[in-house]
Amino acid sequence: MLLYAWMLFVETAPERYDLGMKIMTLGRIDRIKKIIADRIKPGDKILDIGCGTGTLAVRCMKKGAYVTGIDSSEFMLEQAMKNAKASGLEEKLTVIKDSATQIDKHFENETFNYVIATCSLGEFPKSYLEYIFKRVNKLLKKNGKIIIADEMQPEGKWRRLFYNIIMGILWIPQFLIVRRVAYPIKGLPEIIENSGATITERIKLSLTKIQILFAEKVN
Amino acid sequence: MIKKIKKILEYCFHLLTRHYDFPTECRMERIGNPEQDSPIFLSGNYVYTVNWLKSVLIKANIDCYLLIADASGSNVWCAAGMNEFTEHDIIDAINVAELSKLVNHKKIIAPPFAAPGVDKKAIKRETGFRIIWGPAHLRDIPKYVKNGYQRNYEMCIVNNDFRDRIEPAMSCAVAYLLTIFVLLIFFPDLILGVTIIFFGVNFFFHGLFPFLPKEKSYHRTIFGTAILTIILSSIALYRKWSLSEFFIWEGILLSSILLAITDMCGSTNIYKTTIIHWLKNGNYESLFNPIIDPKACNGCGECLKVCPKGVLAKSALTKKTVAVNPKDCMECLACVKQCPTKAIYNKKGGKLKNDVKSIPGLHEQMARDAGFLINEESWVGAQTEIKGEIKIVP
Repeated sequence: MLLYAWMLFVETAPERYDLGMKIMTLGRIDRIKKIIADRIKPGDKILDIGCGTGTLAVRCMKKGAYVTGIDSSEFMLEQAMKNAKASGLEEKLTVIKDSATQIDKHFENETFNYVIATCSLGEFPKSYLEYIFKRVNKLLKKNGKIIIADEMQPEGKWRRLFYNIIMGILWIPQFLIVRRVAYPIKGLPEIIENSGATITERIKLSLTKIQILFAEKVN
Repeated sequence: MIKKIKKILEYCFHLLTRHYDFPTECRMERIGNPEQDSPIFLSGNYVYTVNWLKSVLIKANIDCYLLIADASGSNVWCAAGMNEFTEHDIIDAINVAELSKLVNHKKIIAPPFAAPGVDKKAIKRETGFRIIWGPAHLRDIPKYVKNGYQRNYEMCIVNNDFRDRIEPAMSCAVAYLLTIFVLLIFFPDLILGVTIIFFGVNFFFHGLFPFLPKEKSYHRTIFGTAILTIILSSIALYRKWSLSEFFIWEGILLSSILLAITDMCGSTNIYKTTIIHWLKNGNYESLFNPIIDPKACNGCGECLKVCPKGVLAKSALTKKTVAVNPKDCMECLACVKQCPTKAIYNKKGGKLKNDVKSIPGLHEQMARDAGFLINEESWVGAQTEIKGEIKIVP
């Protein structure tokens, strides 16, 4: 019954999704979003890949930025629009329902100052990420920046082993809470560098394997 | 030999863990020596399905491409209903694999169980590729290929045979047992007995499904409970249990029967209703009874191709779809998703099971009053004949 109750609870996403994410990241998701939003300047044009319920988009718009959110879930986008309206910022938000691999079909080259993605790329395998970042690079303006926050697989053999053991133990509660298991991204820094950007900064959050990667387009 | 043992172990593992996600990498695979005009088969990225599908294709010597799209590591049917296997996942897979450079045709053979979540038109619009529904069961693929990539009616239908019933039931038992084990830490003596009862009861109700009386005013529940209680009592007499011991085991038996008879709260593919409906009415009737507005229906037949239960048929007279067998409907809502004109109404009105989340505006569509379609009910139970892959009312 416990399992069923949890499933029911999370299945009524996306209202519950934010809560689920908060539990999963031990409340760090807010801090990550704050770190990202602090970099944003008024007038910046931002592409948020996998914007979800738009909580990060709202923070950025409060800083005066214009955000385009792309997500493949209509339910999520509706929620994002609702969140933006609640803050009176809906004019600065554009939402597009499409896949991440389709981003280049919607915009001209060199449209955005920032491309951000938080906890949304984990589901993509390497080949997808390579495909996406090649297009991200085209969409970025001169000196445009990429900010990615996600669970990333740690480098180093022993760290990885330790991490895998912890992941194994946490697998069941994680599955029960969000009904899916988030897998860490492997080799994201290389993928970003191969797409034509340089990593400028990495912030690691203690106790989780969430990292925030900052990269800049090489001109 | 080792390979065979590995295969059996792998099967057992996935048999017991089907309710959990096991993703494999999304990718494009070449089976045999595919050429430019070779067919493309689509699959979700559940590792068990992918391995199974691959072995079927290899065994049948079919040269083809296998496109594995993101279904979050779960089976296609659940993923499609949960909005986790949608047109977007397929578009992503087509884009990344650069399919149009590989083949000279525009056809992808997809599992029809993906229909509750996939908008075919969007895929065609964005990539140019056409989704063609293949056979419902993997094992029919060789026959399907031999038949010139044409399905017959049997290939479209999910027949819920022994294996189809028992696999989800067993894995579901595991999922619930894992939860119950947390409580059983305090009563370690009960663990073995509870496990045996749990699997036994599930095996009884799901394995013997066609041989038990129909659930009508709780008939099946009462019959099953009686038989299982007799078995338990005989064990009690044989092992000379005290009365209190018997009542503890009987209590455990009854609660696991309750779970099994409600199909593990609707987690396998037999149960067609909600627990509340079952408690009130004592039957398994679906909350969704399709009825079709002939004025809205354009006769495209997309719904007929995706119904896994043979609920719908084409009227030879009007060339439109009619619902001939709504009692068999299991509320997968594939027909509702695929209908381009929103011509499908719910005769029963009211709320649905609410486990399909891939159809925008579903609640509004299902809340529409179907009262004006009263004449359409005359199609129920009409004589049908099979023509190709669909039923026809002559």
